[in-house]
Amino acid sequence: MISWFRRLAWLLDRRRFEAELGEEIRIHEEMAAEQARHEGMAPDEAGFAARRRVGNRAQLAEAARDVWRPPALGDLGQDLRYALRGLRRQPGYAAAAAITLMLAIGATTALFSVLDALLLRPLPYRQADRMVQVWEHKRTSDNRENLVSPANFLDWHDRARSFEHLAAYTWSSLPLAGNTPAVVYGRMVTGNFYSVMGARPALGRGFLPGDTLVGAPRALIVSHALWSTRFGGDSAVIGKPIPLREGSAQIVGVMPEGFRPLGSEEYWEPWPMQSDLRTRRGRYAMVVGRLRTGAAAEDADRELKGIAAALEQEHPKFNAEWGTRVVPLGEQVTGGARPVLLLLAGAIASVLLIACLNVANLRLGQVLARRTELAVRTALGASRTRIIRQMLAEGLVLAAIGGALGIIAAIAGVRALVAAQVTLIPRLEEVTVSLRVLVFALGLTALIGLAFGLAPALALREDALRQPLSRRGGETGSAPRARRLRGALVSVQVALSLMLLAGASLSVRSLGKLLAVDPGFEPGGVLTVELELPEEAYAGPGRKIAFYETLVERVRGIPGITDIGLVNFLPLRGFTPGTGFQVVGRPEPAAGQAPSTQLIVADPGYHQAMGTPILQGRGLTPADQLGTPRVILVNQAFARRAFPGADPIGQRVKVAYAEPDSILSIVGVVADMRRDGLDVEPAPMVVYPFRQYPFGYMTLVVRSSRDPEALAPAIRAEIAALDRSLPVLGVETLESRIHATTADRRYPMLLLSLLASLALVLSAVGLYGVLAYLVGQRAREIGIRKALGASRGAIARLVLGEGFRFVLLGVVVGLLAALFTTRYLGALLYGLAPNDPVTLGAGALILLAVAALAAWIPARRALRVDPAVTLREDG
Amino acid sequence: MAARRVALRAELLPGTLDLLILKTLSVQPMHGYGIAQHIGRLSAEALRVEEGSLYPALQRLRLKGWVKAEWKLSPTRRRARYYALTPAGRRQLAQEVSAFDRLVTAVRRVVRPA
Repeated sequence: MISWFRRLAWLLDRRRFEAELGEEIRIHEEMAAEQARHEGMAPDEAGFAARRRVGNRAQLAEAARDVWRPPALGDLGQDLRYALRGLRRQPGYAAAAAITLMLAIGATTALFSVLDALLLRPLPYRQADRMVQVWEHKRTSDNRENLVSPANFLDWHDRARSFEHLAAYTWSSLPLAGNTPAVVYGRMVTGNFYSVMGARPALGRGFLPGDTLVGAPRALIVSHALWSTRFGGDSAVIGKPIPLREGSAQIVGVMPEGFRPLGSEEYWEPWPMQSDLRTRRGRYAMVVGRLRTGAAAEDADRELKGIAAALEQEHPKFNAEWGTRVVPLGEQVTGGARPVLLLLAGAIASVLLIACLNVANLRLGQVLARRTELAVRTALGASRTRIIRQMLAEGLVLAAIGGALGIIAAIAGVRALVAAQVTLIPRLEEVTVSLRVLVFALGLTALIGLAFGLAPALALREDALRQPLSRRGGETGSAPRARRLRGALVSVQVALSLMLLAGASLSVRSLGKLLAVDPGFEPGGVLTVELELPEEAYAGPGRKIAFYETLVERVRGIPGITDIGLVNFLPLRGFTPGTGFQVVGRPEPAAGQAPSTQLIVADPGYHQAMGTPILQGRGLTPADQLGTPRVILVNQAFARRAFPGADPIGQRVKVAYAEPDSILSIVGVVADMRRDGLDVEPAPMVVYPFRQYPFGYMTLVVRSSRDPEALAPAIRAEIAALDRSLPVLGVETLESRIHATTADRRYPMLLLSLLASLALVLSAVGLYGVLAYLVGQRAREIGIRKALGASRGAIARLVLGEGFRFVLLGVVVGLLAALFTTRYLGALLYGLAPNDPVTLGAGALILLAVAALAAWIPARRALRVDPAVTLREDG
Repeated sequence: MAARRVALRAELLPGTLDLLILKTLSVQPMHGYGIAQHIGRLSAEALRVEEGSLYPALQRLRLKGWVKAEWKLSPTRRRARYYALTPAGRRQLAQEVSAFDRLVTAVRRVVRPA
């Protein structure tokens, strides 16, 4: 043990040791020469004699060095040199192995970076593990994450003991005036919001109680991004009034860079908790909390559920069937992406495994081909351990090259991923190749290196090393053990590839099916333009109607426009208001049991512009205006739900909306639209006429025969002509909206497809390698068979049969495994069962076809074997 | 002179070089040249220690912790690396001496049966 410390000391201070030894030997020589002179020798003869006596100094130093050098390390340098030389001699093999490893290590490392950032690294808040999100949810509904009623929040806040802080926030917008009017979106937050988040402004101050007093200037804390883009990063802006379209606001603080915990908010303002918030009216707040020390999320969940039960008793009309759910914030943030990420991690791990098997297979073949060389070295006295060490060195060198390239590829890959801004992945901007990731990659590389070194070494039993010398090389074919091992590797690869292929095909077909879903409108050629009229300048219904109807008439005049309409909430925008309704003449439903419907406001042109037909009754007309009977359209889902088997036209309903006691007559049934996602069945919906319910926030829907994007400037000009200070909130085509809603599926699908293709190619290469080797080994046997009159078919069967035994085994195993694993695709699939037989069968066929292609080249070579040549070769 | 040395030089029994060095150093600390001279003199030039074996052997003994090395000035005011026995080296010497005695006795019994 102690001697190891001394060896270590030697290793660390080798230079000094060697210098001392050299000095010592020089002195020895001097002493010897002196002695010789004393004995009467001539000085130069004495020096010569002394040198001769000491002999070769370098040899002596080397012998002394050997004493110190740790035994295994001594030959390591030599092993590595041999390994490098060996790889240089076979550049094709070395390149194939290194590139395979690069792809595998690169892909794995890149994905590990994502997993590390999303699942392993804590959220960037102080004691983030104590932060929770609180939802309400109606027990009769599938939606487990409903917004919260501020009134309920206030009661939780007063009664709950599990929280250090419980804060609420809701949405808010800020119409900035100035040279470029713009609307930015932020949040209205309760005063303790920053205590929950554990953050404070980087500049300026937090909110004070005085900020919410009546008459106080509107106080804002802005995001670092808004501060730098809109206000030039000037700290002088703090405390000064900034002009809004009406009045002004005051920036009191700037949050640190990157602090945007709620997503895309640009600012925060205090939410005055006035007493009228205690009136139970709607659910529109988000609630976050920081747990008290010692309280677990489960405790808080239990406590709030108790409070919610009490509130259910106290306010049955509003709270019947409503419960609460406390979710740790970390889980909330990664929640949706977690299964997909884990799925992709599995897929990447499979590709890594396939790649490793491939390289192991390559190496096995290469080692088998070198059996004669290894046998000669064994015969010349190389020990088995020495040969194993040599293999290990070769494996490590290969892995190191592949690993280095892989890490470079991973860094590039992560950059590309971050640049792609996939919305599915939360916190993507935090993904980097961190030190931890590098350690992971290096560990992976070392493991692979060890495996590659040891596997072939172990496959070569001792007799395998002697055999080649005792018989003529190659004559007996390769060691059957090694051949079976290679075949088994191919089977495993095929099985893994088939699993990936099945997963990829399922997701591709799902996306295809999803895109083939009829959304209930014609997205082609439609541009949408979002506007919001400021309440102050456009107070009352008349001004709003006048503005929008004038705008519609002016835009209609732009050449190329065929249809134009107005709606408040477009489909697939992620938000549609909803409420309960009641059919007039039927008994009032029990509390919490009222059926619910979505509701939108539209003008007479809307459905025509969307390409959605009116199926029964009539559409909206300009005559449906203030002062005439209240009318609505309903969609098919509404008609089915409320009037199964009956004619909805002429029926009357009450909707718990703006005027809950108004009686609304149904005048038409409009076709269903998919509002909440292409994969979500349409919910009941009612359409209010714009003239009866004028809204300040409306979206212009413009259908044209031209490229819709090209219309944007002309439409903007018309808007500016009516109101120069009115900002345009958003311009996009319906097609890009549909594209955006499928992004979350498209990305995993793309990745899975890439991985499956990679797996397929790698497996094909593996199979090719095994068969090519086989044909090379059995060339002589094939020659003899041919000479004895074997048909071409028999030869092809011989070669292909050998390979396809392993492929078929892999396909069977792969299909069984796919049946088991594709279940985890779950949420990614649409309109397909995870065990869809067509997809799985097609996957198996594709794999067999690729395998046939890979086998074809070696088989052809076998057919070309010329018996005259092979038989003469060893003659 | 060289010829005479070669003729008289006895093959060292394996392991005896360590014993000779340890024994030499038990008298007093000595540098490498001194050790070689001492062994030569005491054996009446019958045992000639090769420098090529001596220095690796010294390193080996250092590694095992039986001797320690130190640069000192010789009586002739020449700087040299002096080797000295450690307590562990002393114990090792006692063991090796008795093992050598047993070996020699055994060899003698075989060579000259009583």
